[in-house]
Amino acid sequence: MKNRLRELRKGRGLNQAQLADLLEISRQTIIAMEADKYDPSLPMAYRMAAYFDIPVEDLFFNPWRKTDEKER
Amino acid sequence: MLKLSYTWRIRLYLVAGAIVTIAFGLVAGSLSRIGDEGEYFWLIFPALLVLAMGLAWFVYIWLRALDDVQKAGQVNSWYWGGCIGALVFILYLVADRAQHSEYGQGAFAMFGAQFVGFVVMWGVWKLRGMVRAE
Repeated sequence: MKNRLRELRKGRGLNQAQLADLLEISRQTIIAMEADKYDPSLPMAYRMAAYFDIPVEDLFFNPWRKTDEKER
Repeated sequence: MLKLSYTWRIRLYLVAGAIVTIAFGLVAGSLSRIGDEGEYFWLIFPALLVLAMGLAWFVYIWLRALDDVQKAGQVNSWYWGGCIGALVFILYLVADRAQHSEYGQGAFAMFGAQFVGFVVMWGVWKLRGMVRAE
């Protein structure tokens, strides 16, 4: 699932390990998600979105919504 | 209270897991040597089951502590790795015509037990997911 995780992380001046610590997940998970190799569960997606204080769909693009498709 | 990071928590679980597993192996090994063969089966078998449940509980706690990606990696590896590994060995036994040997029968019994375990777990999962349709 395409996402803005890398962009948002860099926007906060964090490296992957620091973000992983803040979200209480592994660095490998951050790497996998940024590389679009793994889709998070809904609770994890919400936790990440809450950390960045944005709606989930601003972090993970909804491939089934045409508006999201255009924004990419 | 000291708050550990995710990485350190998982490292602690790994160390604790190694200790718990070794302890389980030592206790189970000692229990299996009590009496003559099969003499105390109905004492030893429930005791081993209780110990194994304790180990399974620890694994459950550890799995819950893992994040999504790590958990998926473990579950997928155990399922696909375990099933394919067992299948390859069963095929080897069939090709070697060793399926009627004691060795082969033990392997087939283990495969059967895995299938029974699967059916039980699937049944529990199915029952838990049953809700009245609207």
